[in-house]
Order: sequence, then C-alpha cells, then structure tokens
Amino acid sequence: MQAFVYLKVRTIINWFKQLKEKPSRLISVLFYAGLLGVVFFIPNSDSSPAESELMQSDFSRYIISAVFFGIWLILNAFAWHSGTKSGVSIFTLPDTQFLFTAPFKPASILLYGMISQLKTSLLSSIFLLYQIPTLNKFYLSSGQITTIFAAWIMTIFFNHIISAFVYAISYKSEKRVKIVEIVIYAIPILSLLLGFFFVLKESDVLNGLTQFIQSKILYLIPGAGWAKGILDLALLGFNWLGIVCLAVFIFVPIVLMRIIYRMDIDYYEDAMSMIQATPNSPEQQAIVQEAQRKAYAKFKVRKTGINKGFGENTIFYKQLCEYRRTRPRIVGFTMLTLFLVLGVMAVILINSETNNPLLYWGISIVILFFSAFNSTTIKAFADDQFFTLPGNSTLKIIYSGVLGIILAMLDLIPAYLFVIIYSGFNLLLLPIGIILSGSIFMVINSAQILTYRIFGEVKSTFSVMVLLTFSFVFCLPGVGMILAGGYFLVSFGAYWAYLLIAGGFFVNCLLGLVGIFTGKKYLEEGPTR
Amino acid sequence: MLKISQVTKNYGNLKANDNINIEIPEKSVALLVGPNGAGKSTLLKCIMGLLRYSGEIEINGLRNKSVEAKRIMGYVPEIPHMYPLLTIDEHLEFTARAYKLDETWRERADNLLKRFELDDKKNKLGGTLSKGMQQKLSICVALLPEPDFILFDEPLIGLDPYAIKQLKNIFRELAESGHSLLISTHILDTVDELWDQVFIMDHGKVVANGEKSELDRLGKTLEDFFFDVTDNSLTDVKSKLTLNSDPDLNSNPDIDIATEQD
Repeated sequence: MQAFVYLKVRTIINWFKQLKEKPSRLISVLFYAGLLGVVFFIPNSDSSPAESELMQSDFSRYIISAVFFGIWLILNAFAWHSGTKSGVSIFTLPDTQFLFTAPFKPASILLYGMISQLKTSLLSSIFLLYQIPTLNKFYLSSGQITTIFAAWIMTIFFNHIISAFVYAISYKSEKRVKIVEIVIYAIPILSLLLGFFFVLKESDVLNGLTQFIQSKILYLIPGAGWAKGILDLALLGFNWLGIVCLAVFIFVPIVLMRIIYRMDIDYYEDAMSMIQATPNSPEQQAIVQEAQRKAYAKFKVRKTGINKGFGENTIFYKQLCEYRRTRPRIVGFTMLTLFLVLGVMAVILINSETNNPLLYWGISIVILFFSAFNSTTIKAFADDQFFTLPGNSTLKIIYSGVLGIILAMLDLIPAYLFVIIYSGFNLLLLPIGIILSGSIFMVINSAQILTYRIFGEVKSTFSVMVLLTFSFVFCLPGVGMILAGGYFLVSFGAYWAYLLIAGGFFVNCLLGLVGIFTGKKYLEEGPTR
Repeated sequence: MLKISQVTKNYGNLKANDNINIEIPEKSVALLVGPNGAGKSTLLKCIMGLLRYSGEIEINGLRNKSVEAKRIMGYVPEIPHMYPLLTIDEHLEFTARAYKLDETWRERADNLLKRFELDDKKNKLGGTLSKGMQQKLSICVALLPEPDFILFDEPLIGLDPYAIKQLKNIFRELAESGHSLLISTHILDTVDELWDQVFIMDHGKVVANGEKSELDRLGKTLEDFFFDVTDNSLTDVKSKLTLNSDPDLNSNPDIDIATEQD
C-alpha cells in the first residue's frame, strides 16, 4: 500500500512541478481554477415571495432528490456495465511493467486501479460546483449542499468498487456477465414501472411522480437508492431509513473490497490487451489482424470515394474512407438520441405556448455539446504522416476537420426535419438551424485543437476538463447572441434580431478561424510527443 | 529452479506456445532463441504470470503467479514503459517500496545508475527519456530487488555500445554470483560464452535444446546449432540434429509445415 501511495503522491507532485516548464499548461490551469473561483462570488438573485416560497417547499426538495437520484441511477448503470467488459481499461502501460510484475496481489492492484480512477471521476464532477448558485436559490443550507456533494462522492466511490467487483466475479464467465446485464437493465425498468404504478394509482401524473419519488422502496436500489436515502435525510429531515442507507453505504464498499482482496483473480492479460494500442510482437499483430478481419468482415467494402482526393483534400477522403469502412451506418447513437428527445418534446409541446424553434435548437446544442468531441483534426494530429504530408498547412487543417463537422451536422437533420414538419414551423429553419449548429461545431473543433496544442493529447482527465471548459467558454458568446437574437425575434418580432443571430454566427466563424490558425502553427512546429 | 510443464498459450486459433516443457536448474544462464514470432516473448510473459495459459509453471516450487514467486523474479520487457510523471530516481524508490527492500537499496540503486550512465539524469521524468534510457532504467529496476531469477526479453535492443558492454558484464556478474537468468533473444552473441543451456523455439514449440558443454564437445557454435535446427529443409534438420532435439520432431507432421513456412 505504501508503494501505491508513493506512486500517486509523486505523480501528483511532479504534475504540478512540470507546470513551471510548460507555461501554456499553467495558464490553462489558472484559467480553469479562476473560472471555478468565480462560482463562489455569484450573488444570489432576488426572487419574488411566491417564487421564494416554492423554492423552500418540500416539493422543490423532491425535485432535487429526483434529479440527483436519476443521475446516480445512470452512473450506477454505467459502472456496472463497465465491469462486464472483457477487459479492464483502467491501467496504463507502465502499470503492466511495474505493478503486474511486482509482488502485489492482483486484487490489490485492481483495487488500486479502480480507486485511482476516483480522481478522474471526482475531477469530472467538478461541474457540480457550478451548481452551487442554483442550489442556493433553493435556500439549501451549506450543510445540505455538503451532503449532496458527499453523497455524490460516495456514489462515485461505490460505483468504482462495484465495477471492480462485477469484473472480478464475471470476467471468466459469460453466464455471469449476462446475469449482471439483466440486473443493469432490470433496475431502471423496474423503477420506471414503479413510477407508472404510482401515476396510475394517483390518476394524476404530477401527484403520481411525487409519490413515486417519495417512495422508500427506491432506497433498496444499491448505490443510487442509498445515496437518495442520505440526500432525503439532509433535505427532508430525520428518518431512520436514511440512517440505514448511510450505514449500508459505508459498510457495503468495505465488505466488497474485502471480498475482492481475497479473490484469486487473473486479469492481467485482459488489461494488457486493452492498453496495448499498437501490437508489438507478431503474435499480438496476429491477434489484432484477426480481430480487425472479423470486425471488417461484417461490412461490405464499398467504393468510398478515396480516388477523388488530390493534394491536401486527400486527408478528407482518407478519413471518409476509414469512416465508411468501419462505420457504414449513418444512424448512430447521437442521431437517435436527438430524434427521440426533440421528437418527444415536439409531441408534448405541440399545442403549448412555449413551442418555438429556439427551444429545440437550444436543447439540441446542449446534447451536441457532449457528443461533438470527436474532432477528426485531433485524430489527424495523432498521425505523424499528417505532419509530413506536403501541402498548405491551413488547407490541411481545414480538410482534416471538415468530416467531423459534417458528421455532427448530419445527426441533426432527422430530428430537425421531424420537429419542423410536425410543429408546422417554416421549412427554411432547417438549413438555418443546421448552419448555426455547424458554426458551433467549428468552435468546439477550435477548443479541441487549442487543448491538443497545449497538452499534446486530449485523453488525460485534466486535458479533458480543460477541453470542456474551453469549449463551454468559446461557445458562450456565439450561442448567447444567437439565442438572444432568436428570443427577440420570436417574442417581439424585432427584425434587428437577425443582426444579432448573424453576429453570433460570425463570432463562431471567427473562433473557428482561431482554431485553424492554432492548428496551422502546431502543424508547422511539429508534434510535441 | 524454473519448471515449465506442458504450457500452451493460444491466441484464438494461433498457438503462440505449444506444449512447452522446460527445466532450468539453479544458478544457470539459459538462452531462449528463435526467429521473430517464435513465441519467446509470450513464454516469458507466461512465466511472469502476465498471461493466461494451460499447464504449470513453478519457480523454486512456488506457483509463478504467487506473490512469493514474484518477489524472487525480475523481468526486463522487450519494450520498456516508464511512468511519464516519475523521475528515474522515483522509479527506483517505488520499486524499493513495492519489494519492501531494506535500507541498502539506495546504495545499489546509485551503483546501477552509475553503471548505466543515468546517475546525472536521476531527476529526469520518465516521459522525457529516450528509448535507450528507458531500456537502461528498465534493467536497473529489474536488478534493484536482487531477484534470484531474472527474465530478459531482447535486452540489447535500444542500448548503446557502452550499455551493451555494461549489460554483458552484469550478465557475467549475475551468473558468477549464482543468479539464474533466462534471456530471450535473436541476437546470438548476446551473452557471448556465458550461457549454460539453450532452448530453440520455432512456431511456438521448443524444437531443440542443448547444453553448452555438449556443443563444445561437438565443436559447434551456438550459431551453427541454431541454423542447423531452424534450417528450412526438414531432411536437413533430421540429419543435422545431433543434440537433445525434440523427440516429437521426427514423428510430428506439423514440423513439415513449420519449416516450409520459414
């Protein structure tokens, strides 16, 4: 254990030390820290007495409890699911040399790996701090806010332990994996059924849902249910079941860790095959080739248009060829999610006053914000050939980013088309919406290029956090102007609002150009790796 | 010391190691030689407990995957991977802590670093080291706990001539001080005349093995022996094999395929 602690502590200390030698990283860290600091100085805006009463009511507490419970339920499902994967991806190549060969029990290394992943989860949970002003609006005490954070951290810790446990018990047995998968799906489905039961019982959606979220049966769900119990204890006052949830939440991870520690598990090969990105030996090459052959054998090889490329735009056609060979289906997770979310909204809001195109556009941007981090430029940067290919650097950067942007825009079309036709909006909104969204993808692409230039990768926890922050900050002016313009246009019919929308679009384009320029400089300087 | 019994390692349909039986006595230097893709690295990984396999591997009577066995084993992988945010010195300190070494580790670490010309680079981060430096550090890390049995996987790759000379001296010292070494390589003069036993692998099998004393008696070099065994023609192999070649070789029709594929 002493060695593990030493490894972690020295790594963290050296991470801070090396910031001195890399000013760009230091600036990004200070920027990020500064942005977080701002959260604590946002004043609480005044609200009307009626609003204030609502915010302090039990009903508002139920909403908070329900929102966090929902998020924890999703996090639980992801954690359980990650434990059923045939290999663990929590280790690094140095771990395979230093930890796997050292006299440690495999279970200790697995626990170390899982627990050290906490850093990633906790750092990615920093966005919670941004919610402090919102939670303050609900008149929550600092103790209640601290309890929310504590329950959140406990849930994440528990998820890592349960992920390790699921892996340890199921990695050898497909049958056990199936059982775990059934449980993963059963928990949310049963929760939904319970919700429906309450709605039917109360004959009123709102009352039913309120009854559902107050139901103590939910405390039975491992992880999310126990965290909810603790949260309810803080938000709604003392109850014995909350205390039981707290005790269980502390006791179960300890028991699970002890069980894992006593198990004789043999997962090194899985872990190594997961992290060895490039096959080194002929045997590994044979495995990778066989896996690729099987994967590609499913797809029909078609003409992909690579023969059309010439000069710098060959990069685009190469990416297109690779994309079509590996993912021949246009319909993907993002497209379906957007279609479902916007479609359901359109059906619900059909006769509502709030049914306006701006709402759909805003929601789609929020969804796309988290799914648009798949820059083809970044992928190109990872390839040394991108640097050595002859041609104009600016054009190389532009062509390398086009496919990512086009694919992200393609995801929008079915959802936007459905909403526009179903809600009877002007069909002209389709190209406008897509072009405005495209400008935002350009901004996110710029944020990715900038982050890549600073860190030389966009994989580590901190670089991803900086990327999210950059993307958010870069998107703010353009999206703000477009939404403000849309609001004035829809609400007051102010034609000058078109200028605001156009202004937002141009701000996005300008930020897109900043990305191209940054990428060009990086391309000319050569890779930092 | 090391006993490998009927070890088979499959990657899908590919038999990377096929029914390997090897015994290496204490205080001996064994070579594992063979062409690329013969299964040498896989076997070393199996011995280190990094892969799953069928069969048994024991070191000093201990199951190779046990913590006790790991304590007496050292491993220098073919491709070194250092923690990018640990310095050279911290890699050694981490190893000392992991193996719970006594206070004398510091002196040994300094000595190793000096021998591999890393002493003035102690504070360099792993992420900034060249491939050669990583290989040197990898060797230092494996030697620091003074394991009884050390596995080297292509140890000379990436090293400069000075470091190669140092490593060969270290092989000599380790052999003289009674350590057991298993060195996988396709560079036949890796250990010059230091070795005691050789195992030749091809297509996942140990196709021949021999002792240095026998080769000396026959007036053959390691190179002669290697090419005799791995020669393309099966007829030649059959006629040329004079040492302890695999008894299955003459009766196993698979060898035909193996040699032709070469």
